[in-house]
Amino acid sequence: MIAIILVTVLALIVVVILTYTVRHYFFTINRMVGQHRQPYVDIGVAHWPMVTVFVPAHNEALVISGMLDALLAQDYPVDRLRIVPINDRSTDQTGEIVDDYAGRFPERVTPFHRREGEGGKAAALRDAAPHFGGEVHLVFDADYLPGRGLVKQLVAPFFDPEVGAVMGRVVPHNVSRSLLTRLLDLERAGGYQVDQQARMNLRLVPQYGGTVGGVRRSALEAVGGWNPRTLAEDTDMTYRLLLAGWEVVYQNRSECYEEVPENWPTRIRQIMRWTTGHNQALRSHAWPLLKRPSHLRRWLVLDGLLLLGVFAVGPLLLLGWAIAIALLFMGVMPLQGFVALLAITAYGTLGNFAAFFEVATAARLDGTLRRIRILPFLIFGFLVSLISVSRATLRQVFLPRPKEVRAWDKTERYRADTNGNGATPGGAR
Amino acid sequence: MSAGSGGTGGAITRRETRLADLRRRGVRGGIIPRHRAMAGMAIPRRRILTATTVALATASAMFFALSPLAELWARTFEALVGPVGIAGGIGERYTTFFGVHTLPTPYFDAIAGDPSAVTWRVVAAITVGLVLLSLVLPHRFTPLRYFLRFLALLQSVSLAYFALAPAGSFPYTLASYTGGLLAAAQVVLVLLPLLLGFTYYVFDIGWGRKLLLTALLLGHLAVFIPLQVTVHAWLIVHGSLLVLPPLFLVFGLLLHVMVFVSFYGWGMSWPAARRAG
Repeated sequence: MIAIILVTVLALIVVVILTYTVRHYFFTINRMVGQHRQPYVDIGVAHWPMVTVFVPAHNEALVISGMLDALLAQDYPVDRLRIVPINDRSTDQTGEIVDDYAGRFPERVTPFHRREGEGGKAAALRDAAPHFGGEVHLVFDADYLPGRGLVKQLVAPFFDPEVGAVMGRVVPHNVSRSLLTRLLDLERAGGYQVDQQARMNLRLVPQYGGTVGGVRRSALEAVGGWNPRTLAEDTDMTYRLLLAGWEVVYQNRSECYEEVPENWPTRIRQIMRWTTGHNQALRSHAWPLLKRPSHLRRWLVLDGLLLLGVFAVGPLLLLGWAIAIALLFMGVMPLQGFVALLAITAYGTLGNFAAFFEVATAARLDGTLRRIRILPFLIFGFLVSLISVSRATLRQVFLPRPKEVRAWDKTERYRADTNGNGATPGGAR
Repeated sequence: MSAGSGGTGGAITRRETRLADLRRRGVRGGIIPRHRAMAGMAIPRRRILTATTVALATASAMFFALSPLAELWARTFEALVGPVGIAGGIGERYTTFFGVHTLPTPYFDAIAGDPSAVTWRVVAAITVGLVLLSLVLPHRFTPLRYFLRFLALLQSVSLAYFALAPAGSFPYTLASYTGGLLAAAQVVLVLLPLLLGFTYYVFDIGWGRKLLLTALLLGHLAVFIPLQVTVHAWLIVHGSLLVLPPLFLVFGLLLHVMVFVSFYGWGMSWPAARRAG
């Protein structure tokens, strides 16, 4: 009886995993041979809307200057671009640096200082956004380095009145720092070059990622503004816009360059934060999505649910392994018999390989051929991610700590020469 | 060749080619490549057909090569069983596919029982050692630390099983395990060319390179698998059935997939056929 229950649960888990496997293969093949769907891009001359660029910054003294310099160099009409660095209760030199820029460029840079209130990027955006106009609100992380034409590229899709949010591609620039940065470069390539673009091609759910992109202000107001109660305000915004009938688009051509974590403790904290935020979005939006508002197509709902559940797969996979081990000891796991062997080996090879196929294809499309040689090392990244995701999910389920939602869980910065030490800088709160 | 010998269409084509060449000779010359954001792949119908044919042909060839390969593996085992100190012989079992093709699979026919008290304690000490090692390794070895803990966890489950379950209740023997692992490996060898068919052959890489990668991969696995199974058998004979579960779950089929991924990553790093010249 126990064996039957375990086999049934394992079979259900395998079905879920296989669904994601098929999704990997389908997206990759679509990205390879499908027709690319690009929103308005590379428009040089237009009646450009008024844009406000927010740069939330909590103790970002090491990197904020680079970001502001890059924004000041943008090829966008100066009188239609307002740069708003949000100094959120920083205890380092961030406040002084942004004030210095405001002093030198008073017409272009308007800092917003938060001295109290809840921590976190979403809370900072919620407080700052109502104070600034503009038809489009772009948001960048402080460590990002946008190219000169990026603001125009990100604003252009908003000429389509149905577009509520746009997301650009994130490309790591500190790739050669460590094995981890190289692995993250491959993962990012797979995630953006294949996953996001395929979802864009197929009119599914490209995700607004919150670090290189923006929202239409009227759409933002229509859905109630930024939600400070979540650690993934970007995913939350994607689904609120989607449910309200706005389109979210991905712009693969709009690249922005970021610092990826250079050491494992920072990476683990980052992925645990993403997991917590993403699972919050799962809890909030899965049911409204399942009810399927009439404007949402069936496939879009399915993709939206799969995207929401992507971090829940980690603990599910661990549970699957636990059951498989139990069945092995019970003697139910067959080591003989052609059909059983075929099923196990097919699952082991085809199933395990899907993610590698996606990443290798992305790197090949990127033209970074030599980087693909470290492909097998990705399994170590997967292992760390799997355990981190599962830890975060279990902690969320069994030890809910609401205070965490309102804290900055900062990613360490490396603009200096060292790889960092994984410690949280500046006493992030 | 006279002006008309190639036909009007041919002359136009040559002129167009020359003009296209001239158009591409700009200042600082060359063709401006498409930005990677827009890059896609054209997979001509002919390549799909060839990929399908080659994949099916290679998989079929591999399938029919399994019998002589099994014979080779059996001889390898016979040659190794004495020198490595496995007290036992080599058996052979047969699987019939679709009632037509009978495939032999060799296995180690040796005694490997439940762990003795000493073996149990030694393995438990090694398991504790793995955990301690994972705790003292610096953070830059985090993936290795996680892997060691995962391995220790699996071994701990096995230790608990053999401590609590009645003697002789473990459902596998060395013979069934090695035979099963080899049979699974035989299936993998047939599946891999099919997997290459739609994940590698479709790319614009020269067919010479594609076939070379296939041969290297299958050749590597054909040599690797019997050596892997021999190591497993040696460990199980000397470490008892206590070590079988981690060997199967971590160093069994997963290792075959990782070998495949390694070759695949290497092959995918090769340039496109036209640039390779």
